[in-house]
Amino acid sequence: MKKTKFKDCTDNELVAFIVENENDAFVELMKRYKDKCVNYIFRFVGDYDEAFDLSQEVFVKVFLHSKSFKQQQRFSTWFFTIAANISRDSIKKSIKRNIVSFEDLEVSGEVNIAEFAVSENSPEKEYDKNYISERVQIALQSLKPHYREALILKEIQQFTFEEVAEILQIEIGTVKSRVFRGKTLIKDLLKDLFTDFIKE
Amino acid sequence: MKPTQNKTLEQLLGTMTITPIIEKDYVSDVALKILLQNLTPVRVANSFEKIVFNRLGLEFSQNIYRFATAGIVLAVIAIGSFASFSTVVNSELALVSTKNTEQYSPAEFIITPEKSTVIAPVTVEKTSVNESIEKDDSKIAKKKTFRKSTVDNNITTETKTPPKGIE
Repeated sequence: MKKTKFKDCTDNELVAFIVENENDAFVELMKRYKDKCVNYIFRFVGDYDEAFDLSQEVFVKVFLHSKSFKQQQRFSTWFFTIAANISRDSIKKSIKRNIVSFEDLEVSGEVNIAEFAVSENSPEKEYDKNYISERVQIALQSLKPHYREALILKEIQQFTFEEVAEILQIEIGTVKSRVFRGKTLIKDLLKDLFTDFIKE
Repeated sequence: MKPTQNKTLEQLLGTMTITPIIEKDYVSDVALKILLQNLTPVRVANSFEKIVFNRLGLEFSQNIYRFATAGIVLAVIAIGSFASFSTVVNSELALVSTKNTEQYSPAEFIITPEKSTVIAPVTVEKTSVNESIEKDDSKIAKKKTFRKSTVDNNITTETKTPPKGIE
């Protein structure tokens, strides 16, 4: 099958082609999911370089374990299960290594989200957007990992509660309570976010 | 009465949701939803796919076999082309060696396709060719020694007569 024809394939069909050693199908799959994957992991681990490396690891696993994918499954949930597991392992390792938190790096000026951000607006608008993005990212990093992953999957990746439960392999009720708790905590962290934007 | 007539959904949403979300010391559910969904996306480098493939190439045996096959094919092509090239060169040299060297100056020994096609009559034996080359070499050698000796002479004469002021 030619490279162009893979564009019309569903995700599940692409996986079937990958099993048959059609590497162009894998390229197409990477094109579809690389942005989602890097963004998800970046929101979770808070470091772009690490997110980039871990995303590669996710795709390597997808390729090597493509045979274990069941066609009745939804590819996106299977994919994000791998991504979530890899991200969680990374967080555990970084806690063990006692790496400095994202917030500490941000305060010391070692990390700048704007450096990796896609720029389309005017400089002033871009500055405001990046400021808000950074504040939200810092607030996300302050949450405990299990609240963070549920919130990212539900609100940023826009999965349903059922899908989040499938990805994280937990009960729907647990997902709902984690998302609710995560929202409450992050709202509290961001309560002064708009103060600078309101004219007295 | 329809107050929202002639307005796009975006304008409608703009007036309905975006304005009230900016509140002091409070972030509403809607505001948080918008904030999280509009986080600045991070840029993913174009080299991403290539890097993943490289990583798989190291771990996935099928790619290694492919690279190995490609390497063998290239090696066969290289050996084949080298063999044909050397055959051509050898045949050219064979043609040149049959030339009568007494009739041609050393400059004409340069192999060119035009000259190699001309087959000179074989009148001189191999030994005479060697002699002529030896003669030429001896001439060059003599010239070199002559030049050297003149330089040496000049140096010795200069050192033998120091300037008067020093005495």
